[in-house]
Amino acid sequence: MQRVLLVDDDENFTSAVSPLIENMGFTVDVADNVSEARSHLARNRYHTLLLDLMLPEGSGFDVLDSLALDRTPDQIAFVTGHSAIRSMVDHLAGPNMTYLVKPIELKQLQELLLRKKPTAPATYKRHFGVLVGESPAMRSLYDMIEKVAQTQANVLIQGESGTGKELVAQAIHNASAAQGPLVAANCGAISTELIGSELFGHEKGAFTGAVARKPGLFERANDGTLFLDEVTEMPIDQQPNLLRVLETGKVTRLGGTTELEVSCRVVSATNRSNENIADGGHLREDIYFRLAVFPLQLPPLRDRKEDIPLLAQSFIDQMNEEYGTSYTLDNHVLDTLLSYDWPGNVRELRHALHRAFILSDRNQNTLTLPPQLGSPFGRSNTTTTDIEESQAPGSPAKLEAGNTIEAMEKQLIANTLEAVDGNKKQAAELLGISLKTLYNRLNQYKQDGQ
Amino acid sequence: MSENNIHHKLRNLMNNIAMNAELAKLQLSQQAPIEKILATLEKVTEGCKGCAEVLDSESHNNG
Repeated sequence: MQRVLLVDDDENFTSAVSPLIENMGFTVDVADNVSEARSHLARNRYHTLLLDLMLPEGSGFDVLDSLALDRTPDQIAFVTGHSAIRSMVDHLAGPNMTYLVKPIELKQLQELLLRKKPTAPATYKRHFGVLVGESPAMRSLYDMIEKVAQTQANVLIQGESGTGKELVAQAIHNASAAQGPLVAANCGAISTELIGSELFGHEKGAFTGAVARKPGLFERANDGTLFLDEVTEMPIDQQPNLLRVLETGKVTRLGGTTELEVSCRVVSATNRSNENIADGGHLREDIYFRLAVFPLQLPPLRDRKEDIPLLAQSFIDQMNEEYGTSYTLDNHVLDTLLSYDWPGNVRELRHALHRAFILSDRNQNTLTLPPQLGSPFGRSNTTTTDIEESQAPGSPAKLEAGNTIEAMEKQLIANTLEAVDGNKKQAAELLGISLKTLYNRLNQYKQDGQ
Repeated sequence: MSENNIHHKLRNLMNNIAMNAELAKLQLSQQAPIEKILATLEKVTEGCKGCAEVLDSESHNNG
C-alpha cells in the first residue's frame, strides 16, 4: 500500500485527516516536527508528502533540505494557512510540488492523492543512429552488430517482414569504418532481365537500350556497403555471377572486357527461414555460405514487446516533428498496443500509429487508436470461430500438413486483395510487404499459369 | 494580533472544522460507534468556538 506522510503539529487536523486519507487506500504516517518527519522520510518511500510550513523546530523547508534524492516523494504538497505561500511555491516550481490553502476540502485531497500520475514519455536511444529498443534480444543484436562492423565479413540478416532488416544494414554500415556509401537494392523488385545490369553495370551498347555506360551496384558501393534485400528472390540463374564477384572481388560490366576491382561488404536480407531457403531452393548453397559469413536473426516484435513503448514514442516524435503537433501516448493506448501481436512487426506498428495520427482530433493531444487493430495476420484479433471457419471443408489452402508455404502465401495474398477490393497498395501494406514484392508475386503466379 | 495572524489562525480553525465534519460524514457512512462520531463532532464545535473567540478578541482590540 502506498504511503502518505502528514507533517503538521495541529493534532486536531492530523487526527481528522489521517482516517480520511486512509479511507482513500493509503497508509498514513504522522510527524509533528522536523526531526520526526526526517526520520520517517529516511525510513520510507512516500507517494505524497503533506507538509505544514510552520513547525515547532523550524519550517517545512527544513524537512525538504535533508531529503535524499532516492527518497523524494512522488509529490509534495504544502498545507498552509498563509495564502502568501502560493507565490513561494510557484517560485519553487517543479511539476510534483503544489500547495493547499486551509481550509482544505476533501475533494482537493482526493484530487491530489488519487489523480493518475501522467506517464512520462518513454525515452529512447537510437543505437547506431537508427535502432530503437532496449530488450535483451535487441541488446544482443547490438553486440553482434558492434562485433561484425569491425570486420569486413558479409552479413545475412534474417527476420520476418517488417522487423527492420534495412535499418540493421544501415546500423552495420554506420558502426563500420566504411568510407564509401551504403547502396541498397531489392532483388525481388528488379526484373530478371535487368538484374545483371543492375548488379554489375553495363557498357554503352551492351544491349538494346544501353545508351550509356552505367556503373553497377557493386561499383557504386565501393569501399562501402551493398545491401541486397530479398536476396533469396534473386533468379537462381543469376546467382553464379554474384558468387563470382563475391569470391574474386572483381566485377565485369555487361558488354565489357575489363575486370574492375570492387571492395564492399555485402549485407543481404531475407524473410525466409533457414529451412525454407534450403528446401525451397531459393539460394544456392555456395552463395549462401558466401553471404552468410555472419548470420543475424532479427526478433519479431511480439518477442520484444517491452520495446513497443519506446518504438511508439519514437514514431510519434517523428510525426509530431513532421506535422508540428504534440500528440502523446496515454496508458490506455499503450495497453492496447501491448496487447496486440503485431504480425507485421515494427512496420505494422508504425503504420497503425500513422493511421491513428491521421484519425486523431487535432484539438486534443492524446492519440486515438482505431477501435480494433488488425491485419489478415493478426492473432490477438483471431477468434476460435475464425480459425474453424478458415479450415472449413471447401476452404482453399487449409492450414494443414501437406500444403506448401507458397500455396498458403498465394492464398493469403488472394484473400487480402479480395478484402481490400483489389487495392494493391493497401494489400501490400496489410501484408507487410512492399508493393514491388506484391507485384513480383502476382507476376510469378501469372507466369506459373496459376 | 496582526491581520495576517488572525487570518492564519482562522484558516487553521476552519480547516479543523472542515476536516472533522468530513470525518464525521465518513464515520456515519461506515456506521462507526456513536461515541466516536460524537467525539469528532465535538471537535467541530470546538473549532467554531475557537473562531468566535478569535473574532471576539479582535473586535475587543478594535473597540
